Amino acid sequence: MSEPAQDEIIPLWPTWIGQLQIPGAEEPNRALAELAARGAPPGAGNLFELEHRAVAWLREGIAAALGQWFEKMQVQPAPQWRLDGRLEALGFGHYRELGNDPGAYLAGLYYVNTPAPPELEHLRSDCQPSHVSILDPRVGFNALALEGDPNFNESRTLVPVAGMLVLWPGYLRHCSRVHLARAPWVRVALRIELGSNLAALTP
Amino acid sequence: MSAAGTTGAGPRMAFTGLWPTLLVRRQLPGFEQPTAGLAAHILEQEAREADYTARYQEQNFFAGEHPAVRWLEAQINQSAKAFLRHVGIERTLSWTLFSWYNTNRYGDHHAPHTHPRSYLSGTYYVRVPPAPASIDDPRARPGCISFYDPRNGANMITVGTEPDARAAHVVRPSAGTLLMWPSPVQHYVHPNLAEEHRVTISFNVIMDRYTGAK
Repeated sequence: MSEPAQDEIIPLWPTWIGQLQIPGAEEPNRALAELAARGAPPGAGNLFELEHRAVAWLREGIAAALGQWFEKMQVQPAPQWRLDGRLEALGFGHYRELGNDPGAYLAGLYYVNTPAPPELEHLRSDCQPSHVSILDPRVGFNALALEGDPNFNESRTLVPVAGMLVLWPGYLRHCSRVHLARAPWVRVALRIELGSNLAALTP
Repeated sequence: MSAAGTTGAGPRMAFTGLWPTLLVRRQLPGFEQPTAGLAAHILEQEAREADYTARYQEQNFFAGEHPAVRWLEAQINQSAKAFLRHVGIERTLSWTLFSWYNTNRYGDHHAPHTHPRSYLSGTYYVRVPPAPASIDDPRARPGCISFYDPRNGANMITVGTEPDARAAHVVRPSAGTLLMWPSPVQHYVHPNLAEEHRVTISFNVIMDRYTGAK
C-alpha cells in the first residue's frame, strides 16, 4: 500500500521587498528636506558622501535594514556593501519611468516626506499619483492568469510614507508615478552595490 | 565599504514575498493499482503504433473510458480545484483537460519548454526507473525534472546560497507522483539513462474561457 499522500504547494522564487519605518525620522527628515530645497545636491552626487548628521542617521537606518535583509536571505556573514543615494525633489509633473538598477544588488527609496495629494480634481479614479509601482519580473506570466489569482496583477503599488525605507532587488523594474502637487516630493533613491569581496558572490 | 548593521534591537523590517511561482507536488494515495492499469493501457497504445508517444498533439489520452484513466482524470481535477482554492479563487470555473502519455527510452528527454495556451500543466509519473549508478557526471540528474525561475536575470547578482541564487528547482519524482505548475514555467525533463522505460502522463488544464467553450 502506498504511503499517505504528502501534498504540498511549494512557493518558488518569491520576489522579496522589505519595508522599514525608521524611528526618529522627523528631525532628520526636516534637515534632508532643507538640503533638497537648497539644491544640494539633488540629481547629482552621492548623498552619502556628504558629512551631515541627518545623512549619517539615514545611513545607520539603512545599515540596520541591510543587516536584516541578509539575515532573512540567510547570507551570513553579510558581505561588504557600498551605498549610493540620490536626494531628489520631484516637482509638479515630475515622474520616473519604468527602469531598474543594473549592477546593484538592492535598490530602493527612502521617503523624506509623504507626498502631498494631487492638486487636480479631474483625475481618473484609478490614477495613483506620487506612488511607486513595482512590476512582476516574470514578464508575461499574467497573460492567461485568472482574475483573483496572485499572478493576475503584474504590478504592486506602494504608498509612500515619510520615514519609510523600501528595498527591493536591483533587477526589479519600478516606476514613480507622476507627482501632481506643488509641494515637492522629497525622497532618496538608493543603490546598494556589493563590495570588493567578490568571493562572496554566487559563482 | 561597510558591513551590515546590527540586527538585534530596533524595529524589524517587514518582508513581503511577491509573486511566488507555485509548484504542486502530490503523492497520490492508493496509486499502485490504477497506475498498473495505466501502464498496461499505454503499452497497448504504443504496441499499436511505434513512436506514437512523439505525436503527443494527436493524443487525447483522457478520451478513453479505461477506469484507470478516469481515476487519474479525477485526481487531476481535484488537484486543480485545490490549487484554485489555494490562490484564492472560490468561484466555479470550467476547464478542459488535454493529456498525452510519454514513453522515454534510454536517452530520451525533453528540452526546456513551456505549455502555451494553458493555465496549469503537469505530469503524472507512471514508471520511474531508478537512476543508474554508472553515470560518472556529478551534474547529471537522470530521471529528474527541473523548473526554471521565470524571473530571468534574478540570479545575476546573488550572494552565496541565498534563495535567488538557485535558478533551477529540481524534483526527483517517483511512481505515483503528480506535479502541477503554472503553464508559463519553463521546465526540462532530464534524460532517462536507465534501460527501463520511464512512462509519464502529461496534461494541460485549459480554461474554457480561453477557447470560448463557456
